[in-house]
Amino acid sequence: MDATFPIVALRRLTDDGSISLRGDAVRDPEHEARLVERARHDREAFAALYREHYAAIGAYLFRRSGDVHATEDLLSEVFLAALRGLPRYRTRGVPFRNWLYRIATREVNRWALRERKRPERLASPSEIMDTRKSADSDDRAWVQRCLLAIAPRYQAALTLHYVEGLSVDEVARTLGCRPGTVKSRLARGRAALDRVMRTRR
Amino acid sequence: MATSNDPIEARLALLREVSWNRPEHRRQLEEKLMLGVSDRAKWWGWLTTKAALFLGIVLLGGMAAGATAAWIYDSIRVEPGESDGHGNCRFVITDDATGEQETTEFLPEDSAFFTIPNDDGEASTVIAVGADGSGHAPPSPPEPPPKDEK
Repeated sequence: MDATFPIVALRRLTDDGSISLRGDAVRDPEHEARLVERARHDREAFAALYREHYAAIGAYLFRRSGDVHATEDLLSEVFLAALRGLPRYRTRGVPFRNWLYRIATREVNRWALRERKRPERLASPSEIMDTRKSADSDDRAWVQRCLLAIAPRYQAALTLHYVEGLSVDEVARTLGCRPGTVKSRLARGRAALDRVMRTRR
Repeated sequence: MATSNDPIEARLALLREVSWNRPEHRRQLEEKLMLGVSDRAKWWGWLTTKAALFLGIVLLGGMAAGATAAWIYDSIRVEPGESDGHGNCRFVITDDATGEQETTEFLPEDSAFFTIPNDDGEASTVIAVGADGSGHAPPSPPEPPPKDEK
């Protein structure tokens, strides 16, 4: 592996004038479509996509799992799956990040289902989200445990909508379901989370 | 979008403060991914090379097969040759491209079927050339006995 690769990639992508690595430019649909098209066979373009979305997808997975090691493993699975699935990826109005959200949701849902069979882990997550011991971090860890106690499909809908800030339509496109289904999952998920929070406080 | 007045949404909003910043993991995963891209590119290149080679072989094989078939049909004519009267045949007469005629005696290892049109052009005789060099016409079905006229 060339240690100077990221710098080289940055220079080569910006020299041609067609693609910028600034976040706003990459999120531009046309620029992003071009970058994704290049990324199918160009490792530098894929590296640019990876760097653009690494933190956001990592944060989503960390918010869902609350486990550093699990998040690292899940991130690897997500981007490897994206790399494998990139030739089949079609934009169809869904931004690349939402496609990554979909893959990440699938992976973390599977992880959550596995974890539900291990109640000792749900009772005390191995990794606390914030190493600083504070009331806020305790609250976040508590919310995290409550969230993990409900069905993964409700976790996904609630997190994507209320935490990641996606609209109902965007959540629907990301999860590949109808907006009505998302609304239903949000309502049921809220009720389930409320019940869990009342019992675990 | 969430409104902070709702207790559930307000609690979920706490998770927004959670970020993910692991430079070391980011670098390691990027290296892993780039190796994956390289492997895929190599695989794609290998596939492209193999596909081109396969296509070339198919084209060359097709051309060779076509040329061979043309040579066979254009320059070889199979005739009954001498027969013992029971459809047996021991020779194949070939006409080459220059018009010269050659009579070939079967080798012991030769074994094939030849179709020879009859004089009337409507039917044909099949001669099987056996490994022993003999040719045999398939037995004809027995003719029905003549009906007695009343």
